[in-house]
Amino acid sequence: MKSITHLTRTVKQGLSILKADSKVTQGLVYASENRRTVGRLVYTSHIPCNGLEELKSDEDLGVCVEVWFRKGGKQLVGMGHESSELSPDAVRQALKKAKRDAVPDPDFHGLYQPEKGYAQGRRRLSFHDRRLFSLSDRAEAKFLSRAAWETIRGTVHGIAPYARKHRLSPKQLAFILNGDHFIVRESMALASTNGVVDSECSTIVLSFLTAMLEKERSKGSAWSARSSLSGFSPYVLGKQAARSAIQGVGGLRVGGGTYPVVFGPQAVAELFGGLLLSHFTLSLIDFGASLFAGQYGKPVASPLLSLSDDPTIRGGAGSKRVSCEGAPTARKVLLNKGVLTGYLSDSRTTNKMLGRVTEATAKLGVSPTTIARAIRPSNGFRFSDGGGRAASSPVGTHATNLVIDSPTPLSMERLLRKVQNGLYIGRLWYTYPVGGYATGIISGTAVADSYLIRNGKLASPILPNTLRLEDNLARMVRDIIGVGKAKVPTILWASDEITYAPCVAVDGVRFVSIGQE
Amino acid sequence: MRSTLPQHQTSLTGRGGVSPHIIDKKPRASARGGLHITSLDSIRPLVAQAPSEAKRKRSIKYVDVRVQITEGVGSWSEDGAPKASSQDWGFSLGVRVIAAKGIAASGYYGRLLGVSDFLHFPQVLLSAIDAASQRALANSLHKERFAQLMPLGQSVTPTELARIDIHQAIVEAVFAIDPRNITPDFFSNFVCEAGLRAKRSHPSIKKVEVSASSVISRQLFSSSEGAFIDQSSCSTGGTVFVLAQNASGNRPVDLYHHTGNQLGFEALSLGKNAHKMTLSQFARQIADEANTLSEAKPAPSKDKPVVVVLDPDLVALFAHEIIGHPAELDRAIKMETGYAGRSWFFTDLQKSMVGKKIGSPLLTAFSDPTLRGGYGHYLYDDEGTPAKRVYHINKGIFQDFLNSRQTAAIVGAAPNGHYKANDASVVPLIRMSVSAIAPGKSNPASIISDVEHGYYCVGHRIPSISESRENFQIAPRLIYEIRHGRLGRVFRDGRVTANSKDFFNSIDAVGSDFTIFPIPNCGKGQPMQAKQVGNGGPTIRAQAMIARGV
Repeated sequence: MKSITHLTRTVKQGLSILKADSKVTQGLVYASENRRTVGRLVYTSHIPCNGLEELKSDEDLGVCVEVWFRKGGKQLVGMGHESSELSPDAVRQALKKAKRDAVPDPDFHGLYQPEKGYAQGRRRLSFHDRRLFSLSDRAEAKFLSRAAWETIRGTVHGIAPYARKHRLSPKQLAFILNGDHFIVRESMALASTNGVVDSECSTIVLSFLTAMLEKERSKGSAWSARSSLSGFSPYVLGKQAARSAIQGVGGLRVGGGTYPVVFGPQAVAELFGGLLLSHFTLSLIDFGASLFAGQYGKPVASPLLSLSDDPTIRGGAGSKRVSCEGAPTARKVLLNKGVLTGYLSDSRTTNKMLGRVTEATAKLGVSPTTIARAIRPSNGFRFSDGGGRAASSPVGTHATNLVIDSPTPLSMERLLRKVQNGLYIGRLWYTYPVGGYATGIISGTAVADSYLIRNGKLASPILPNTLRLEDNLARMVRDIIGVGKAKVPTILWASDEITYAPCVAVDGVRFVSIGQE
Repeated sequence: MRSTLPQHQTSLTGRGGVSPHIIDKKPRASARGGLHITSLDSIRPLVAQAPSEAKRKRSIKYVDVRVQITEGVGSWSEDGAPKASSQDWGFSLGVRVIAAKGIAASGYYGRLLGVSDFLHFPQVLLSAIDAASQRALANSLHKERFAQLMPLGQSVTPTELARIDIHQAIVEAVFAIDPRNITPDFFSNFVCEAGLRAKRSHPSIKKVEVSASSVISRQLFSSSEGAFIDQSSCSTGGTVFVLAQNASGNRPVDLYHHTGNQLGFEALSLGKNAHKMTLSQFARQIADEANTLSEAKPAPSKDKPVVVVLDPDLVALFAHEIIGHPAELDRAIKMETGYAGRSWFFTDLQKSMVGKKIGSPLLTAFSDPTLRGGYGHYLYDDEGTPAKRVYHINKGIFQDFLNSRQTAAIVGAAPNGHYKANDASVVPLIRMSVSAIAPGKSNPASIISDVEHGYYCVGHRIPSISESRENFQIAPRLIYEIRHGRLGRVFRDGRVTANSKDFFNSIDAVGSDFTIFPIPNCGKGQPMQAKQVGNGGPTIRAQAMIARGV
């Protein structure tokens, strides 16, 4: 991969090209390189398989230019990109495209403007593993291959005693291991006419495993999310996945109805990261479909729930020091004890709200001019392609590390005791806003790692794919009755953010019994 | 074999037949200004020859290479005002190598490229093949050790590809209005106009966002077995997002929908799409629907099966979610257990639904990449397998899966050409093509008028499906009550829900109004690839429950 010095040189040279153009009011040059390397695992004891199914990578490199300029009495904004090049010529080419494609967006009021003291306030945190950046192709192939096969070995070691105990042949065992190790290396640099010059490297090491004893209809998960290889143990993860699958053996079918439920970290990530988070983006507030439209400063959830996006967590898999617009990142509190206190935003959306104060006041419930901190544009990122900060992508609003918290967190034992008799739902699947965003209506299925709670303790496992969650997200966050202490960094398939997810207990959750044979 | 070309197609490049023996040409970029699909002409010989060259190494068993250039234009508007517009190209490369130092295993490499890579393409390609080879070899060594030492290692087998007939072919794109001739400025105005018309349609319409694109893409595929496919296609489509709220402050309605076709700009400017509407007319229709729903009551809850009539737009999503997806062989043989899920059509190699009754005799469903109308048309997939129709369900009996060469080899089937990727830099997956429920003979109007009491469900919205696709909840955009054969009140936010097999068995009428719709965003893979496919069907009548609308 190219050095960060190379990217920085590109954006500085690019900036002088923009500054030499008298028609450019404001401009930004952004250069990036991203590499996604995946070892995808498919092991089946009863069907011929490859074990390490895909050892692969894809990568991108490029430079983009954003300009705000005058033409024919109009102020136009445009973006141009040049792929796989970092030369001044590439910047010129991107500038040409940006000018050619520019549009007179009436809501665009300029690029990100750094706050006072910007240069002095810069922190020198680093969220990357240097070892990963220095891997050669050959070393990377060996490393990822070894990690993948170690994982399979760990899983098979985990499941073999079960097979021996029950005298099962591989075919009778019908064991499945599926998942991946996913390494993202991203580097970016940017320079703008507004005085921003910055760069950052980050690395993300994600693992997600699903193990299943298919004839027993028992499915379990294991995962990890970190920013470096430190503590990465693929063998242990494999064993954990096997153990989770064994724990689910003997699952029962549970009737439909309304239950108090403890949602486990994966299910919490699906509900909070996959569904709830978008309602805190300023763009969904602006569109009008957020559940929390017009409710700034008001209680919208249980007072037991606090929610923040924290890009500054040391060692956090989603941590970033600077946004892709050049804004220093900072912890943003979205919900404080159930009260709506902040939004995720990029500069374009924040400026738009500030440019339409009357309309924005109705959408927020308060004038945007009075809540500068709450709408601070620190979440403008160019996340793309399943990992990476790509120059080819326009800035969008994204979370980094979503942290779910409580003023009075409970231990797992106390959480279970609070529910007494109900359900523990460990993993949800395909949970979507089936009634549209604005209604809060959601549906998904309990797919793994789920148990009955009896007398305040985890009891029998629940058969996967037999319960469909059918409820309303707005109601569910109001009826939270407890939030766990232990927060687990959790990933979701195809999500950008890492959710630091504790267990969360919700009262009166509606499930429908499905899949009767 | 050279493909037979439809008569109405427009030639893009005037390029000739495949000449795999010409290797002395250097890549040429017509200008530093960028790449065009015609730029691929100068690297065709190199791409054709490289896999066979690479396979000369003793440990290399198979190599394939995909190279792709896409050119196009896209724009986004909000309430009729321009937000962004772009005209650009993309250049991507992907390599697969199967190698054996122990048991045969695969390795992949992908990259997005630029002009300088094009100018140095021989080195770029060699380096990509080398990286993929190193991965395949490292994988092979570990695979061998595992298979020999582990007690449960017997199921780990060599990576094999089922045999296919080797083809060399050119497939040209079909369009009337070339996406390359559309300027960003013109396209932006076009998209703004559509948004403005929808925004002004009703006082209840609070927000309209419209995004659209029109692209042409060309991919070269070559393999060490001698295949060489030079295939181009167009894709033009638009998505409309609408938010409506009535004056009495009912909960807002947010709707979105997509239309388009594998054609040039005419897909949106002349209404050459499944909806037979221009983008402007289509945006207006979605606004009309949102306005209607803003005054509607929530759908009633029906927890026992009731009669439902589904229109072709909704049937397209049913065909996608509960027939097409579970008919993907990678899901069936558990390769997607951790991601996209498994399939209730297949338990293991000894037990499956193949040959068994899973639905009404009126239900026939297939995937057919040779059909046009959505986004699922092609003549060769991304491993050079010729496209052909696969019947999943024939008169209620389950028949066959979509497959790739590798999955076909595992189950002993013939490859049927459904291995596709979003672009050349990412690894293909088993994908739907045009996957649809076949037309029947009933008059769609009488399918409704024969109903004493039931619900007519119109348009598709958002699905939530069970992991093996055995149960579903799919939201139509509108649900009308049917009373005495006539449409009555309209309801909002309801969802049709059932166990898939019960639903298939309950089908008692299938219409003659078969239509193929464009599906723009089918997510699968790790990292996820959101792929364009085609889905369709006619009006059908069946029984299902309705999930409550509040």
